[in-house]
Amino acid sequence: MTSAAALEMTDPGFCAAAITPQPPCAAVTQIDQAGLDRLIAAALFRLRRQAHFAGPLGAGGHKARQIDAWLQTAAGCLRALARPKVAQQTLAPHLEGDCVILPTGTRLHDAPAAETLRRGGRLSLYLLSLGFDQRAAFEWLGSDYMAHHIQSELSRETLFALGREARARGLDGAPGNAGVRRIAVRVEAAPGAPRLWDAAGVQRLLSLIDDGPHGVTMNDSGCFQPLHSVLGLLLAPDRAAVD
Amino acid sequence: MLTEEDKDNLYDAIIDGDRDTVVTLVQKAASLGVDLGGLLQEVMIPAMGHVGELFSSGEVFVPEMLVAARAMQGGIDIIEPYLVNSGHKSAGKVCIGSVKGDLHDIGKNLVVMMLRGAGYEVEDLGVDVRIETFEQAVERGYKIVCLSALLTTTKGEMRNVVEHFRGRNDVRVVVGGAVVNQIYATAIGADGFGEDAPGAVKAVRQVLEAMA
Repeated sequence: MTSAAALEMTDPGFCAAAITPQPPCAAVTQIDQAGLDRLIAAALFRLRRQAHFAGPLGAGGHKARQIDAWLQTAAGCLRALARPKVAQQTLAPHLEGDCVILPTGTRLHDAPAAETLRRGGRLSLYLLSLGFDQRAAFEWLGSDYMAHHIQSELSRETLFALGREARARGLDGAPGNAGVRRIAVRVEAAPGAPRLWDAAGVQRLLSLIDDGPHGVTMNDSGCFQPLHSVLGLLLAPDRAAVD
Repeated sequence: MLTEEDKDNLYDAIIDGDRDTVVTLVQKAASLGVDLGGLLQEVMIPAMGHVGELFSSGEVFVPEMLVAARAMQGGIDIIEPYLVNSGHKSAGKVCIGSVKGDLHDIGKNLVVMMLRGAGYEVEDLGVDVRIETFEQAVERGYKIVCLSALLTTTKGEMRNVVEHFRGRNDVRVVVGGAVVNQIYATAIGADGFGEDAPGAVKAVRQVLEAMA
């Protein structure tokens, strides 16, 4: 552990940068056009096999032709506008019993994660974004609501494809990602409302990734801008333990 | 006159999403001097309503509903100028937006399409819409206010909008979205709730009927 282990962080409102030494900057990877084409192809493949698309596409006729045309238009929209990127920041969490305390003060009650970290595991924060605005997409599509809806569905799948590819290529630096898992951040912001989205907590996490090159922001309600963005935590075991 | 068979074909073409046939039949109706407002009310809107029922019952999914909406729009594009010239009134004037802080538009856009397909005049106010913007739309005559929210953090804003228009007998507020249900809609005093896009159309119709 770093010197952060000696620090007490009980107020989740603390500024992480002020109390915890972090690696100087996040590694941001911009996906090139060939990579984007690959992601879109993967997303189209998945979308086409989902029941709500596979049914009408398989039935043929004008429904299939129209849906196929929308998918191609949506793909063109993404090719023109999307600038996918992946950012990753290694974190230096504080451990307290079974609790992992993030540099932002957010407490994760996760005994296996705490144990993995004690054994030399590494916790990192990742950010994925398609890097384009939905308003721009709507304009690109000539304010066509129907095409815009299909574009939204394709964008969502493309974001998932970006996540899969980033992970396969060692988002966390662990070869083959053996033993890597995502960490669930369970927030209990109010009694009886355990699933309430803690926008301020996520904003604080986002602030740990340098806000220069990735271009993703979050409003006070917890909406990412650009919309098709994901922020998450990955836990990788000690590489030597994996090898 | 359009034959009954033509009307049946028009009805089926909308459900089937066959835009070319819809356009052909509506053009034929226009050239024959058929009452296009009547055609819209008697054949086209019920057809789109049937598509909504199929969607709500899980028999068709969103892409098929979109194809039907596109076919319907092909007919409306022809009919609209005639309706404007003849002073025909729309089914009602509705404004819609995702509430302040919410940048999601996917559900709201589906409702826009379904409302237009049901003959309503819809002003789409976009996302992250402030109360003042809804207020301005109401002043322009859009007395039915539809609110959409996808996040637990933004659904509270719906209550603020409902509170804002409380006491306005000429305004009705309909709510919907992934995080909203009938219980919540009732709790905040909304006038209507749509659990999906066709449900929103029903809710709008019900509040308008209650106002009449």
